[in-house]
Amino acid sequence: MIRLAELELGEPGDVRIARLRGELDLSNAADVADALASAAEDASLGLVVDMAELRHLDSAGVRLLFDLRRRLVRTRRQLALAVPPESRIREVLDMAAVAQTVPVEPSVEAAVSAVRAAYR
Amino acid sequence: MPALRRAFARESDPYAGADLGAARRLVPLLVVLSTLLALAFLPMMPPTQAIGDAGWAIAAALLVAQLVAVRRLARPEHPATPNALLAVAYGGVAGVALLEWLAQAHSPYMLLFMLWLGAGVGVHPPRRAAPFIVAVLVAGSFPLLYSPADPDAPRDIAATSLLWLAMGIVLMLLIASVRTQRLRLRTDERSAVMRAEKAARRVRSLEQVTDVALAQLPLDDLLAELLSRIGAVLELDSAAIFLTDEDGEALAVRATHGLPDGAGIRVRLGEGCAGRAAKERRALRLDDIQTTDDLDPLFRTTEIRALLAVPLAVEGRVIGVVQVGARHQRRFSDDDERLLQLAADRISQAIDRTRLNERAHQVAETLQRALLPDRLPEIPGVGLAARYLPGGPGTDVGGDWYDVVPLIDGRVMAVMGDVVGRGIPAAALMGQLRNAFRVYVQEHDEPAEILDRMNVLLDQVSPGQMATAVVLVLDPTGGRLCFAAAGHPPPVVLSPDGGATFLETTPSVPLGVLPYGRYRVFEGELEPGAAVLLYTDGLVERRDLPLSAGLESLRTAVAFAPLDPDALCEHVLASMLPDGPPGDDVALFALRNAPIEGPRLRLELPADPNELAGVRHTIERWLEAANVEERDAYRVTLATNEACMNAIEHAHGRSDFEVDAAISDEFEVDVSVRDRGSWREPRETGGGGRGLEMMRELMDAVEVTQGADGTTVRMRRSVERGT
Repeated sequence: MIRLAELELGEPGDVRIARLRGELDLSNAADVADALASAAEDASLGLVVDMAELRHLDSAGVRLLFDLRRRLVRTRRQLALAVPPESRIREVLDMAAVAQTVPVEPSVEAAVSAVRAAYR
Repeated sequence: MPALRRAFARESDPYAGADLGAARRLVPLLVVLSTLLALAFLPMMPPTQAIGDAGWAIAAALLVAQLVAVRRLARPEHPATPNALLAVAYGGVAGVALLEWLAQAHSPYMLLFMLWLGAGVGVHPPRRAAPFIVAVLVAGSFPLLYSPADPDAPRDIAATSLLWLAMGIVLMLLIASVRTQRLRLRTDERSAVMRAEKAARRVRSLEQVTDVALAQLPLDDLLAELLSRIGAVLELDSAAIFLTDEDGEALAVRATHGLPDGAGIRVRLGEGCAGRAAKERRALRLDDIQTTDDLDPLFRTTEIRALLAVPLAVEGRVIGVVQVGARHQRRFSDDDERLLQLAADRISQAIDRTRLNERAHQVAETLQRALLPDRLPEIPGVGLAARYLPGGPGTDVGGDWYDVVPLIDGRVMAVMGDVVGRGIPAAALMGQLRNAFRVYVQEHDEPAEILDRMNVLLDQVSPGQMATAVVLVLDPTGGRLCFAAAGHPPPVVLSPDGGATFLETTPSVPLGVLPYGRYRVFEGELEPGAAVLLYTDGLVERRDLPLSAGLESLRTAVAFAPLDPDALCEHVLASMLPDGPPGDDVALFALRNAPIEGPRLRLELPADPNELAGVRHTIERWLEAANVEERDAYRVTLATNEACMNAIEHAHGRSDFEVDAAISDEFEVDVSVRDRGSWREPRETGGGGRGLEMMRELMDAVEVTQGADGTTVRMRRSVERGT
């Protein structure tokens, strides 16, 4: 199905990587949140959302991220975001001060390290 | 009086039936014979007994007169009239009587009387010879008046007169019988010739109405031609075909000949000649019409005196009436009726066949039209127009189709296809392919992938069937075009500077040919303002020209066409098909990457979260066209998106919301988003509050006005110019 956002899930493991592409807004935020939450259940440590190819993020998406973080915290899992510095959604993340609650890293590797680091 | 006149008129020629040709040869011969005999008798019985030697002079004058008469009668260039012949015969009898008196003798001249008797009988028709015979008898009895001296004379004269009478009657009977026989033979011969000619005419008439070539004509032409032929064959003034309407209550005029156009004239069943013929299901003849009650309204305008109507029947069901009329009184014969019946059978067959064809054509066309989109979607920044022309009269609809689907990410996917084949099967298959396309578009955004799927589907649902297609995806934001074709003629692009080029492809096979074929995707560009035209081969294929010539003339037509999709379609149709619908059906689809330009942008949208992406793309393209710096454009777009999200949440999906954006010359962007819902306080944990914060951060000023009829969010920001 052609969706506004495409979600590609990595192999389950200690840290699961979910690559989110396209645009995230009010029309698909709830569905994406559910998909990400259930994907996180197969990860022992936590979830990394790769947002490198996400072209749009707004307050509905930010709400989703906080929501998702809350759901993961309940099961003692970590959430980290991989957002390249040149990405235009960075501005939205900064405005909402997402980085204060969820680690925002410039690459997937850094985000994975951030999740693992939380357990050391 | 008319009866009397007619009685006379019938007897206009008292010698009708007389064998004048024979008389013309016989009379001069007899006159010559009579002259010769008279020359022989005169010395024996000199004509001097009554008046002395002067008798010789009279006799000589008589003989000379006879020779002059012969000379006159024998002129071949001037055939003698019956009157002249009679005058000679009576004159001859009178001459013999004169000689008899001059000679005061009787016996030898009797022979001459007999000759003249023969001549007279020859001139008269047998039935009318009696007065002449009496005249000869009276003349022959003259000697009784001047020779009482001889006591034997009266007896001799009576005896010889009886002999003449008997001979005259025998002669007359003989001639009469011979002539009657001859006349009968000639009459038989003439009537045989007439019968043969009539039969030949009849055969020709039958050929006229059963002419096989007529079957090729379209129904209206066929009916007109048949009516004109019936009129000519039956020598009639007018003819008309009535067909029963759908509920079978009335007849409507379908075609006329020699009559005013009868469009709209209806005749109820059982009324008038045609109505009665239809109701009673039999042929009806009216030979002498005196009142107009029998006339249908159609025939009332002309002075029709005689009518013949024959019902048209198909499988025992009356479908109409064919009626012919004459302006004068006329007795229609059985032959006339049979001929018209034959024509009626022919007309019924043609109508039945054509109705079946028309119905099939209609069904196919209805199906075809039902399967085509009845309305193209409205996509901001993408101009769309389409045309579908069914083939000309007498051709079946084909399986041409097109469709366009806006994708949620702002791209537009269009398809144009042509199922090989015609009629209902082609239209039905086209419907399946179109549905399949709609489904596949939900799954794939790669044109080649969609064609691959359709190829497999076609092979599964209709093995052996083929279709050509081209699928095209336009991303209006960057003008990127990607497309794939399956045996379809290449789309042609019209750029804003007026250049027309075909999108480059490699040859490909139609769908359904190679079930495991793979289609290739090609890339192209549709710069802002440019248009791309998809079409089916009916537009470029001409029987008398190679395909390359058709494509070249299309390229030329497109090069001179306006960029507006509607006008582009019209221009191309007018240039390529100036004579209207061609033999094949034609579909056209134009898609334009229309820049969203201008100082103002207004959108009115349903309160549906799915509309948000479209709003963002539209605003962003508008700002891009206005040359706003990319980062600023993104910020304005993001703020507008937040305001719209608020509006959608307030409306609870019940009403529309409005976006009204403007950019001033000083590069200040002013965006108002208006909803008709009731304001709700931003939820603690929700994005509403965060949305408003974001708007304030992204824009220079944000005002929220709440009224009874809704909320308006107005935002302003000074923006940078792009490079």
